[in-house]
Amino acid sequence: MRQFQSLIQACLISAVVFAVVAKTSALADQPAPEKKQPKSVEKKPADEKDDAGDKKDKKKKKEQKKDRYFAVTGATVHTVSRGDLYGATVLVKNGRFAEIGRGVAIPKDAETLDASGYHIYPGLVAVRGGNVIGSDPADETTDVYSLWMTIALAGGITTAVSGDTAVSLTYGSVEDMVVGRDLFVSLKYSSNDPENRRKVREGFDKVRQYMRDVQAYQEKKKINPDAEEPDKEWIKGDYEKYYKLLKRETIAKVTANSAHEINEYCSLAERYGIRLVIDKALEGWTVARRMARAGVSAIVSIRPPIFSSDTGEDERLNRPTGRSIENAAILHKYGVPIAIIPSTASITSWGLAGRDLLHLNMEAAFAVRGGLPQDAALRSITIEPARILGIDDRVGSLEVGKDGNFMITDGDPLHYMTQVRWTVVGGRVVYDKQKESLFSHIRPNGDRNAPPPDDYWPRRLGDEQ
Amino acid sequence: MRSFQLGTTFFLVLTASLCAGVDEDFVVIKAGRVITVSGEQYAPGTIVIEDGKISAVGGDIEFPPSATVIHAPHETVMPGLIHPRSRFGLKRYMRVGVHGDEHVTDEVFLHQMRFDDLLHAGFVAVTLVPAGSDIPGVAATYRTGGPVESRLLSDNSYLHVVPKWRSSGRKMLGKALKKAKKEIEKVKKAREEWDKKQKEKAEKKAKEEKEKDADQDSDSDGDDASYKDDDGDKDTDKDAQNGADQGKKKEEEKFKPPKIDPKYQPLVDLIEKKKGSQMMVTLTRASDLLHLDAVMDQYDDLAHTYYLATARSTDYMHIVDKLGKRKATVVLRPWIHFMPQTTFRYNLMNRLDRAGCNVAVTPWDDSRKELYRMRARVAGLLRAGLSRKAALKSMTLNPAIAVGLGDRLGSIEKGKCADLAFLDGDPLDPHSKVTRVMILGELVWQRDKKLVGRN
Repeated sequence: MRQFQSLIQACLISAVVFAVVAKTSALADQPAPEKKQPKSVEKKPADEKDDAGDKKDKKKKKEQKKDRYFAVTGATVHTVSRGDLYGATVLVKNGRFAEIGRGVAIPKDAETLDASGYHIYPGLVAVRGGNVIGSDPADETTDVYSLWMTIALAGGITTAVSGDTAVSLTYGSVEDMVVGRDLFVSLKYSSNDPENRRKVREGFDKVRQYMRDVQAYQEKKKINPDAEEPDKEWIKGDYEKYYKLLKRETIAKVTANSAHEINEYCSLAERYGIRLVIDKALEGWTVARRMARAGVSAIVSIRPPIFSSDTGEDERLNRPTGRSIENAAILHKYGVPIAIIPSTASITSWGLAGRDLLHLNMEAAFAVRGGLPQDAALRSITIEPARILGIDDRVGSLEVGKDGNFMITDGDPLHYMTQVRWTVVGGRVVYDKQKESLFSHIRPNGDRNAPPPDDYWPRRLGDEQ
Repeated sequence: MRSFQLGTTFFLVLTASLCAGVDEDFVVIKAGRVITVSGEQYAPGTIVIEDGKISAVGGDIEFPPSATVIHAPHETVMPGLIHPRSRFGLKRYMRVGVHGDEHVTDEVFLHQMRFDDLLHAGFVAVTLVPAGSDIPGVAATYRTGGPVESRLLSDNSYLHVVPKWRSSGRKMLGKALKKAKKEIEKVKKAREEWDKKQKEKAEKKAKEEKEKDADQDSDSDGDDASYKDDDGDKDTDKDAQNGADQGKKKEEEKFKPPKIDPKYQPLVDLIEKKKGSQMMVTLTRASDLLHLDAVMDQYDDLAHTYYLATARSTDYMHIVDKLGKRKATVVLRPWIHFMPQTTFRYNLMNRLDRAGCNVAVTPWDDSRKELYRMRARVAGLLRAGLSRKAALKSMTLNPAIAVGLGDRLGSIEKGKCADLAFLDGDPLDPHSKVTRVMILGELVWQRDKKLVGRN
């Protein structure tokens, strides 16, 4: 019976796969439509604009440059957003996915990589970049040859955020780094500071009143063309922030841990209809329903920080308190979009235990241990953070038109034995396990049956002969 | 010190007495070996110096019999070493921001400074740089000896650019260059406006003159002979007046460009490709090159050299090919570098040289010990694969090129200054010592006092 069931299941899966393949290839057949550029993306600082016109000749040369193709064949492609494709080809043209599917014609001059037996996943998105990238602004200060970046790439991370800028980890190049600028605004509405809370509320009220006035003015104008336009000179600084939030043009990133604080932020979000992402949300699992109703999202860490024994529990309260491994699972169950990030969001030498960006995938795996479905765990480190940050048109899943950022692994990224074999950013191999000295000695070429590496760690002194 | 001075005076007196009645302009060095750096090596070699400049070099060449001959049969003569980036004898301070108007010449007081340590180590020229980060100012090159009047070789060796590590040097340089470009455009605009005004004026004048001519024609219709003489006088007066007017107008016509912000003047010169202007860009990490290229590529060939500031554990190996391809002039400290976070060693200088760069070395720091030790350090790199030619060039000709004095110093060639170092052995032998130093054809220092006046 069981066998029969699995057979049916397999049939169903293959049917679905076939349908998806057909769909994707059909999509691929169409000429790729010009992608509209969202506001947040590629917003060059104003001062660079006139300089760009300087070198028209160079630009022309660039236009005449041949198209750069990169193709990976034979791998199982996990698109995250559009199902899985078996033995498919991924074709990247000039740093963007051109085609994903089976039977893709590979151009003659394409650089190809045979990844038979490997799995392709979208590159992971780290909502905090730590020391992997520079800061202020990340695209101008990142050390693109740093060891930290290589380690992050070895962990499958291809996009990291510093400040409010998201950049691709373009190892060895500074071209086409920026994925998005001005991704979010920070907001403080802590109950420790009632004066500030009042100010924030008043600010929101004032701006909301202004928006209503504008609406009224537009109506009035239809009847009376001489109607007076409401003054907008004062919308600067914080007011501008509130204005953007009220128009839902941006998302506010707030930090809250206790159920009480989270509730307060939820009320704020509901009252003004703004988009909020709650960072940390330690006790989110106790108020998941409330968070879901308010439509806020969360950035959570599953395991406590290293050197911290504090569980956040408060025995004086007659309600569930403190951190829980089920946090992500419960939030997901109630429909709160979650992004997962380790509590130490940088590469550290004391991160060997796997609680830093070296093991972003392991953090998600721990969420699975807490009850989060596998696919949701994978989404929480790929497409969900991209959506929360508003860069899902560039990164987060394998789709035609998105950035050619992906990792090629020898298995499920949520499995502890899985190693990244190659990482590709912008159609360029930026990490090759066999060529870097980091993990090349561990199961060379992904052979799971290979004997354990000679070089044990920690090395015991005196053992060497 | 005193003995030195005494020695010098004694030497001068002696030479003066010896050379009485001899053609003083010619000095000839007959050395055991002459390393020209740019060309071949002569053993034994002869250098003929005329008026402080090298006029001929060769194995056994003829020279005027009246010349002063310096016999150095057991010595090797090579072009004097050049220190391309130093703070020797200057005070510490930190200047942050764009300061193109600051010149190191303002902090150098030659009568107070003694370059003896440099001189004794064989350096004939030193480039002093303003300290600080971002763009602290303009560097200048000085001779380490010789008459004070001839010490200053160049007051604009290069613009010192030091982007801050881990912060946006790219932003800083981009902004500064953009400001400089705006200044250029400002002048251009003023010029255009002025041209326009001049045109309008000229047109107006032409019109007026036409009208005047018409009037005069109508006046001169009546032909009264009695007024003719007066007319003539008037004409001459008018001419004189016209001349004066024209003089005045010429003064007015001179275009006065709006003042360029002096802080950005060197950058303006760079963009306008003024001869002799260049900048030395400090690279702390390999990725700095990529970031700064993103800015500098927006302008046409800004003349620049690089200073690889970090020694020991570095990731410069990533950019060796890039630098080699553009045949960059690179200044660095002679050292076997380590790949970052490893104990893998690589000879960066050798790699840069083989990739096609002009590599120049600078002593580890300005301490006396390191100045003496520089040749030994380069010799160490020689043992690790560096070619002899590159090693010799890196201490003489390439630093001269890096500081914009490639046509005056750095090798023993016809027409170059006779700034030479005498050694008692091979320059790349760690045990060899500098025995004498010649600047502008005159010996300014000798290690062995007994040698003084022997010639």
